[in-house]
Amino acid sequence: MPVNSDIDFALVEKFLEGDQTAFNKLAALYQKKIYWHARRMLGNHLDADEVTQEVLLVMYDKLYSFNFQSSLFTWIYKITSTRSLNYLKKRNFKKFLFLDDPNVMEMNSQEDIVQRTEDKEKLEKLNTVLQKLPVKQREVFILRKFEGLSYEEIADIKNKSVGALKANYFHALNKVTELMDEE
Amino acid sequence: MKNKDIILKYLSDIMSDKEKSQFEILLENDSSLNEDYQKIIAQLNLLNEQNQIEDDSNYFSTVIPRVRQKVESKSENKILKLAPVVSFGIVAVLVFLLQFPKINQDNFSEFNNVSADITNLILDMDSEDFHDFFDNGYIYDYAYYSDKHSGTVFDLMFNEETDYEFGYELIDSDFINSEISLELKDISDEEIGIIYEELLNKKIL
Repeated sequence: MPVNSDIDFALVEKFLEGDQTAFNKLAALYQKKIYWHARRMLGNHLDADEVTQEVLLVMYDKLYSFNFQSSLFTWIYKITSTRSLNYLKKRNFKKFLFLDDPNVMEMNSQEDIVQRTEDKEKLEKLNTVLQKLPVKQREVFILRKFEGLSYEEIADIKNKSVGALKANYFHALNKVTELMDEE
Repeated sequence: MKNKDIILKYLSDIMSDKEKSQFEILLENDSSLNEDYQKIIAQLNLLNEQNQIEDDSNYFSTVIPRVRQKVESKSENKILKLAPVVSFGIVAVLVFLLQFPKINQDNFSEFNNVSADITNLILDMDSEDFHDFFDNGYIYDYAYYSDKHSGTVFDLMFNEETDYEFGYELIDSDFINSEISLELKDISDEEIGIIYEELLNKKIL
């Protein structure tokens, strides 16, 4: 759900005037949303952590170019979406070239922000389903189902028509229910 | 599941308002459709439940400091990129002193100001200005015509009665060494190598 855009705009203005604490407040408002979007898209903590930091760095560097025409929420989600997709492409390319470092994969399974065993199991089950969805369907499904965005908001973020997004969501639902039937 | 397609269309909001109303009426009256619908809703609820996870709040308190660190290290990298330019500034001042070294201990603070001014001037230059400043000798023009330093250390420097011996002493002094080591202390061996190459290329060394 989008947060209050008046607060967002006020914080952006303060930051652009040189108030560094305003950036910290913006980052604190959005870091969880950024992390969990990346986490659901990428499926593990280390990659999500990296993308979260990247997105916040881009925010820090590019906030001066924010035009106040769209909501900050949409702007941040656009960056998060692009960075997550780029990360996925890079990762797939590495896999293709057999460049995946087994030590990093091992660390991925050890280091996590989810501590409770019950939560880990739940997340693993969810992850198994999500990672089997094609990327486009996965993203629309995550944005709509877990992040509660409307098709119009997703269309703003992805620069796609509402009709195309509905079709993506329909196919994602179909695949998800199929996968859950198989379990 | 024979009704799956129509249920997913409804859940995806692909139907028109009229189709939606028809579906909702059918859902109330068709037990088979209702059963399939409830099954899909249960599956989606299970996904929602799997998504309810308690995360480690300590993690989120570490994100912003780490980002801040990266922001700072990016700024430091920018400074490191300017390190050769800063070093040119220092070397320029040293060359100055070798050529016009009639400065005594009383002029140290003035020297310090001039050094800072020249370094600031160099940092604001684009590459063309930088080339003019050193290769075409404008550094001396700056020194000579600078209103700010008129009648100060530059006047002494351009005085014909120069004391070269004092210049060499000054270079060996703790003051100069401490200034240089302050500038260079964060520069890696590799960067020092680059600076050294640049200085050789510019024929300063």
